[in-house]
Amino acid sequence: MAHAHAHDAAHDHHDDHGPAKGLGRWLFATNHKDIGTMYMLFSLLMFFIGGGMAMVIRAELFQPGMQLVDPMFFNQMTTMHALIMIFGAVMPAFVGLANWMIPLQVGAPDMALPRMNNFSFWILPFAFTLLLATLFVPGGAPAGGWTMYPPLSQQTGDAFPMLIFAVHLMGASSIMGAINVIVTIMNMRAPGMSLLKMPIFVWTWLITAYLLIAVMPVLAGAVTMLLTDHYFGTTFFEAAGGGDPVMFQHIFWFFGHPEVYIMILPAFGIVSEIIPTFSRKPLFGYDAMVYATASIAFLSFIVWAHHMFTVGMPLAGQMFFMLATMLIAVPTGVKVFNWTATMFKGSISFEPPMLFAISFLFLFTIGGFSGLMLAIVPADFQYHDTYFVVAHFHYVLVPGAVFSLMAAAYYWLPKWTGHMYNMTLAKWHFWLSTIFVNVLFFPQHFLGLAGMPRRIPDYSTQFADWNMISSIGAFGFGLSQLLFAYIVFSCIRGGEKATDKVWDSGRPHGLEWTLSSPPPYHSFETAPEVK
Amino acid sequence: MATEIRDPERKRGIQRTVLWLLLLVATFYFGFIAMAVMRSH
Repeated sequence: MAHAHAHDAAHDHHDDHGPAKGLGRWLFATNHKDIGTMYMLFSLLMFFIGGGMAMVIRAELFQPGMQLVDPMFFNQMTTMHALIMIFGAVMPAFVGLANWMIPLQVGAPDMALPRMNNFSFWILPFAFTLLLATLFVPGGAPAGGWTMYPPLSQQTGDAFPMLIFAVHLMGASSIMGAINVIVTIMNMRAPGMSLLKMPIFVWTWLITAYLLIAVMPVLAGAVTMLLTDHYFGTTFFEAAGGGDPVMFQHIFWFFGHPEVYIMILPAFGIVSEIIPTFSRKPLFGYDAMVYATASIAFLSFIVWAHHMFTVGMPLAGQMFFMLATMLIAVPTGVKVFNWTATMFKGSISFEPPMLFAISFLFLFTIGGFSGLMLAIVPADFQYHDTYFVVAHFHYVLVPGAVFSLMAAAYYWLPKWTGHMYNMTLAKWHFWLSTIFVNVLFFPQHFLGLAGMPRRIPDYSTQFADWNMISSIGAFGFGLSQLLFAYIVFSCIRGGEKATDKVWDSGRPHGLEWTLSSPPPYHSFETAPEVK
Repeated sequence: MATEIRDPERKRGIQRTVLWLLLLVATFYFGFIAMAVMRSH
């Protein structure tokens, strides 16, 4: 871990010129903090739009029978909810955090490629306007699932080219963001900060960025081929022309599985920053954490076919993908052990970031365990395409990725804004979120094991009770998030002044805490000294 | 601040890293399409 020493003079010598005035500051932003802020506000907006779609889904599933929407619109909601939450909410939120925190944590003045940084952000509003506009075109929005499996996805109406173009734009944005992260980390670190002295959040993002570089082009290639199949007479995925629809699934999941880790590795980094601060101990097993992260990233490339056991594959293939998937439990177990060991005999306090980090630890582990169950081939034949899968990946992504984002916001918000937020309200937000997220997703395990299929607007009456409970959890969880938005915006507008270290009673560790709160517009004009 | 970014050695390092990464992106994009082309009958 970097033993950074405060460079007291660092924030006394920054340039006098501050941000540009008016809209130009945001449109032509090249400052990593401004761009980070835009990413995070954009992701919050997408979180509420995607969340609104989830509310439609859960309202329809509140009771058996058709209630509110027609089945086609329901399918559009499930597809759009996933696309928006993955590409519009979770990924941009982590990129926003990377923008804000990586230069601060490695002691750099800004990201290495600030103009490309601006471009990679401003692509996103166009991409998502295009995607959301599909709701209003003939044939409606894409409804074949976020996985875009052909031949179903080829039946999309006028929305098809819009979907493909939007996915290309999102991919281009992610690739540019990843290039910026890698280039910044590899070339802009403060003198003395060797790789194994980098903060763990920076490490997890470095590895995540390599994953993005490797797999976003694969997604782009897959959707390019969907496009040429649709409009240019190729038959990559059309059996009638000698193509193979299953090949799309292989290519898609070669992207899709590392994508899961793209959404969880930075979460590991955040939790690894927060737990030591509020346990008042250094992170247990820093090197092991780095190697575990790298191992998870490597393994993520050789497990893709566990998403498609039921398409039929040779026994040797099933065995390989099952065992490789189970291997991921080893480095993940190392991480969970190290977080627990960090807390062991620590002087723990329960501020909102720590509460969310602990909740992450327990609930993400539930998602991990149900993933292990799904890795078992014969069991997967039963669980596949049921609500058990929905419960599994929502445990990974909501109390996993999203809770880590909440934890990060509560951890660094005072540093970003210079104000403390309302701790009592934040604790309310934590308890409401933690209770309702379990009411929402835990019953879905039971529904899946009882055989309820996913992606359906109606169901047999035997599933009625747990569906109603799950929907109540969803409404509660959705409403609780309004509290988060209120806390964040109140904190931006004002509040008690935050100190430079913010968590004075804790053990905050790293270069970001040596700067003022909020940090100067140009962070680290003079490179800090790292020992 | 600006001086450090424009430091020639650092600038060359940044350019080299960007080029390698772009090469990686192109390899994955065109590589997977080429693989699909070869697999088509």
